[in-house]
Amino acid sequence: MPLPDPTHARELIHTRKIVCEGFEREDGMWDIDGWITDVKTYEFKNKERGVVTPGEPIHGMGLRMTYDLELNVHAMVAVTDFSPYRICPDITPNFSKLAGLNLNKGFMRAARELVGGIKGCTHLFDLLGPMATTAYQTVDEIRYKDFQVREQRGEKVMPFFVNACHAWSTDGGVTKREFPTLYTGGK
Amino acid sequence: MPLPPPDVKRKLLHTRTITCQGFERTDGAWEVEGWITDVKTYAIPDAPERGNIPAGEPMHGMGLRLRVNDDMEITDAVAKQDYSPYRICHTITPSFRKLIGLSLTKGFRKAVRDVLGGTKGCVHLVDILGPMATTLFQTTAKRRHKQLDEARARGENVKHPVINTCHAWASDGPVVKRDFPEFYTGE
Repeated sequence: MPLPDPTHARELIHTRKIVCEGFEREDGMWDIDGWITDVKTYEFKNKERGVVTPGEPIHGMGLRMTYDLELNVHAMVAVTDFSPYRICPDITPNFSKLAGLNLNKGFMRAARELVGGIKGCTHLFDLLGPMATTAYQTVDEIRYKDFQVREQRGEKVMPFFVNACHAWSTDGGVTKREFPTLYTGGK
Repeated sequence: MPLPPPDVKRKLLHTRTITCQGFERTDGAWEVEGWITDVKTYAIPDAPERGNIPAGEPMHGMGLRLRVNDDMEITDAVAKQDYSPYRICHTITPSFRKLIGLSLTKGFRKAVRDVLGGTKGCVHLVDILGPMATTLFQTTAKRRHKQLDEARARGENVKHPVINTCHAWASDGPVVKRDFPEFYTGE
């Protein structure tokens, strides 16, 4: 990680790794496969698993989300391979309730209602944010060009990324150049 | 990834990778670092500012380091961007110092949205704060568990912070019944 050098001696304790892969499916839909692992650098005892060795995942779980170009979620499958408790995998079927949500319309709030707290798994839930962002980026080429074509046709468009971050502020140079009709800054 | 085999043919387009590492410093403070990359499997020949972006070259490559004390309060924050789609993206990184003083336990996500949401921040750096917070909790687990065990040994009625945060730790479930019987609410 190219962050500045650390200022203090320190010991690595824990590593969480998340990988989200975005696929174009043959049937016209898209998939995001997300996987999360947590490993520690030291050995510890777990009441149900016994000794967990350094590098052996304490959590290893994943989600597959199938969605369409309008960002409607069609399916969500959850898998738990490594967990601290035997009952953890019992909750995975609950994640199928996320089918029917839209990634652009209060997704995280709706997800919290359906699979938050004791209705879900903290770690599978943690995957949903990066998976949603990966979902946007997997289809961004198509959607971006579509927004530009529609704007040039004189349609009123409001792409999801406009005003979503510093670079895409409506009064900034990027919006001015890429979507001039949405620019709100000075000349 | 041990998700079920896909039911249709599909083509990988995009991969987001997030790595979070938790450290214990020799001065007793905690550090958590997060790094995120987004890569595509195809070249983008006409990116507006970067021109040709070859397949596999990060579209986004950025990270954060947070220093945290035992009360889970952020005492230092540094953000860095190595790859971004626009030249102005990196000018927002100093704003991530606004994380200093926030608590990772109480309303963290909402506080983050308030200080770094939308045009005040970077969607991708904000995206890694969730996994970074979870990583920090897991990094400090050993010390916190020891403090909790000592308090319980003294007869103090201390509730484990994970009770009722997930399915496995529901207060009416077998894990709480076995490990924290004084907080068990089931039959």
